[in-house]
Amino acid sequence: MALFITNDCINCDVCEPECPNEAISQGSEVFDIDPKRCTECVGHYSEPQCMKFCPVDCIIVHPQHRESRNELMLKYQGITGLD
Amino acid sequence: MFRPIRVFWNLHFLQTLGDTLKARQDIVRRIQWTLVVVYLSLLLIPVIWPQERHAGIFTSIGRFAEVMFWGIWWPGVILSTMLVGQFWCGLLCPDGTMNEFASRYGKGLKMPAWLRKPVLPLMAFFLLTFYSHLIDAHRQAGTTLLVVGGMSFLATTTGLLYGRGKRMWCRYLCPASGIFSVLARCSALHFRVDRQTWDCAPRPVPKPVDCPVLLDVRRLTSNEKCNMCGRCSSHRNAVTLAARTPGSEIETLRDDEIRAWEALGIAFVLIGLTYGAMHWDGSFWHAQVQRALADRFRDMAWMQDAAPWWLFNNADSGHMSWQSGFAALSAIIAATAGLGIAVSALLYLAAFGNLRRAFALAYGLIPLGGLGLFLGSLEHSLAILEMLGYQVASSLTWIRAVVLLPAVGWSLRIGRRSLASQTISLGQQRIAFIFYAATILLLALAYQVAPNNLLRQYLPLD
Repeated sequence: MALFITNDCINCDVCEPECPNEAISQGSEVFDIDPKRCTECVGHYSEPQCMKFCPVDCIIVHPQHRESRNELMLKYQGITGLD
Repeated sequence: MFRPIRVFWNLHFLQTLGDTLKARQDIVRRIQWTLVVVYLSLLLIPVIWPQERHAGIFTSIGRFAEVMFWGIWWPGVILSTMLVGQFWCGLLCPDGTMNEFASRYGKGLKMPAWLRKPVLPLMAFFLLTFYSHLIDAHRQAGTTLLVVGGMSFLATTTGLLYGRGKRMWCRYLCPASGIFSVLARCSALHFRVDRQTWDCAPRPVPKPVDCPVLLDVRRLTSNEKCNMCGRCSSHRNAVTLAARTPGSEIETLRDDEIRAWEALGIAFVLIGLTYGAMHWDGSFWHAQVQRALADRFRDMAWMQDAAPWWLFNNADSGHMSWQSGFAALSAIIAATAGLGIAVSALLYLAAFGNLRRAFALAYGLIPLGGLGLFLGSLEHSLAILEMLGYQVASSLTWIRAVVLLPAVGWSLRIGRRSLASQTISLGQQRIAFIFYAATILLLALAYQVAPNNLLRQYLPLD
């Protein structure tokens, strides 16, 4: 499952540098997570780093991009060239 | 020719001030911790070393503390918040300093959603104000410690549990912030964000914006929660300390920024409760309630017993009977409800029964309500001066008039502009303004003729 940043985001800039897949970018109103690049940190860390560091709990599981752990691992391998 | 230079100088001065606040946070920290030490001393020493109740302010640390807390700080912070914003909160407040420090070394938990409801600080202010006036907290060291020190304890505990180097107490729980957030909308200073410059700043940014109260600085348009600490100044070259027309934030409120709970808070807390709490003693409605309760409880001897000091208290006698306590409680509730309902009804009429428009008009009462609160708090300062031998009691009427006149003009102006922006006909605007002006007149009269208790508060020094 990819992650999603809600409108509660306070644009604090903390999450963007924490993402190992560079999936987070500044959107028109709040930060956005690219579902094609988000692996919920599977392959990198044991827990999503953006959720861990977000001070206002505005990052949730994307309701329209539900993926299994295996799918996330495959995505990670595709992004990092390890496939 | 001189005006553009003056305008430029003002803008440049403000920007420099904002940047200096950011650059010299080391000096700000030293001032903050000095204030923490002074504050805790004034809070604790009078309780540990109690002195004569009616001692002079320079011979008794308890009386000196009372002057500092209630004679200078409380009216000063109300007025400064209305005029220039919450600089006290961001730069000086000991509770904020202790909260932030504790949260750097605390558990770092995320604050649960139920503690982040925006209405909580105003509710907390309501309860705290009610309680502090029932136990006469402003005139005794022990009760001041209970109320003020209690808030400091909660602020520190909040830091030990929640946040990572942030001021979660100030943002979500502090009762003072509940009322200051409302008053700060009037202020002439704010940190202005140039959205376009922010969005176009080179990426990646050198470091995240450091807002201790977790504001969305990028989309910041309101002063309501901004602590004016200066830490975001010049972030992405887009944030500047700037001047604005006092009250302009209220005049330009969007529909989505108007909150029912806040409008009701203005009517029943900022106006109703603070009036009731500050002016119940010696009022005609208090006398009525006392007589009614004396009749009702005539056969209940226990009602004349002293209530626990932490429930009902009078600083002069050191206690209050249950009957007197219930009389005080009833008098405060009566004034809160009476004034709050009267204001709400008139605004409802001014809005022709449209609730959203009535809520919008309530925001226009902030300057008058805020300066009414300031006047009420100032009376403690004047009572202290009276005690020192300065005969100010007879000047109270004039002092009230001098403060209320501009307050009335300010609120009328905001109301007129707010009505002009609503989608109603010119004729309806005029009728609405008549009802709105009647609300202002009612409030101004209430503040002007409130009971004068300056001579009742203290025995004069020999």
